[in-house]
Amino acid sequence: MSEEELISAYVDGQLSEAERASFEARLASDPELRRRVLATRLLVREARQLPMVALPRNFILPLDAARRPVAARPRFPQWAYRFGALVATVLCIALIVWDVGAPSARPESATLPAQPAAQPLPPEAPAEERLAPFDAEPRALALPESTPAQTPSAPSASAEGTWVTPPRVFAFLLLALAIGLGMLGWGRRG
Amino acid sequence: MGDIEDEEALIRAAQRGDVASFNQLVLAYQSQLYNVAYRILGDAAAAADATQEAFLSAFTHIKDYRGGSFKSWLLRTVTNACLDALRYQRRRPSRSLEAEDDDERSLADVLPSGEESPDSVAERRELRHLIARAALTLPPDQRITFVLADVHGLSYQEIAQAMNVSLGTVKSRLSRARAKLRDALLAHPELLPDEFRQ
Repeated sequence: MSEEELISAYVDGQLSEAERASFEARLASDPELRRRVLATRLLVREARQLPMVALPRNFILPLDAARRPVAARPRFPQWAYRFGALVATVLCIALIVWDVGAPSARPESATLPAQPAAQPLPPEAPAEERLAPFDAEPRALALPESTPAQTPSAPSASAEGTWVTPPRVFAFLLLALAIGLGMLGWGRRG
Repeated sequence: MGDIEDEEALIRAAQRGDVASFNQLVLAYQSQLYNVAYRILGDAAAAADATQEAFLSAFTHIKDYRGGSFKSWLLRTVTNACLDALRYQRRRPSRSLEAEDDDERSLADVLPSGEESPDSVAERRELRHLIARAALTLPPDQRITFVLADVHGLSYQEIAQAMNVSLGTVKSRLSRARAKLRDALLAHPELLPDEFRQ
């Protein structure tokens, strides 16, 4: 038992006979300890005398309280909502950065005019190397030339199509999730 | 407080959904619960909210009450509501106990002063305000323990039930709370009795 616990127990009369005798022997020879015990006694006495505060109103429940839906307590601790909001925010930002910063890495870039892909390979490359990468999709190279009528409309269709892309929809959903979790994590009581 | 003729019957009726019976329990305990909340939170509006929330929660979960001290069970609901409110206050600091001093003083003045001189009465009133303010600086667990033990005079056992902790934890928290508050008192010797001023 620490000295503070001893003082507290002594003031509350919770020490055994032997403990009390030993403690009182120390009290007799230690003025500082005596002062702390006196101050603790004063504290306990005055705390007990703190006035009762008048009720601001009655707290009785309305008679239909049994039928009222009870506000559900949050299922998870507050830190979990905050952590979830942070994770959703980070993922959202990462998606936006990826979407804006690396458009050529996306499959949608295949809808752009294919001039770079139509460039012939350097003539010094062996014939096998020139053919091998295109063997799987021989039509992809031929598309701009074989369907010239579609080429002018491709850029505008592409511009409309790239605005609502899966990454952006997902980023928007993550943003909404982050806002919702943030409101639960920082906005609610308790 | 709590001196109801047949508390068990009221509790059983409340467990069957009888709000009127539960309200008799509310009337019996509301003053104590509100005062506990007030001393823990130091704010009248927050204490009223916590008390109302505690009674609502108690009614909602009264089927979970399995006997024992109903007062301790209710105190647990109010201390939980206070802990929620303290977390909320930490994010949105509100008015302190200072704002309520006027109400409290008017009640303190009504208390019998015996043969004390006006100066002595004023000093003791200041001393109590110092204790009440200093208690609000304690960590929540110590604050609740101090309020239940020293302000409301609950036994260690009742506090252990209300806070769902062991007796040893109650003793330890109470001793630490008292040590801090005692040091706060000793820092203001002008408010202490003569034996402390030498």
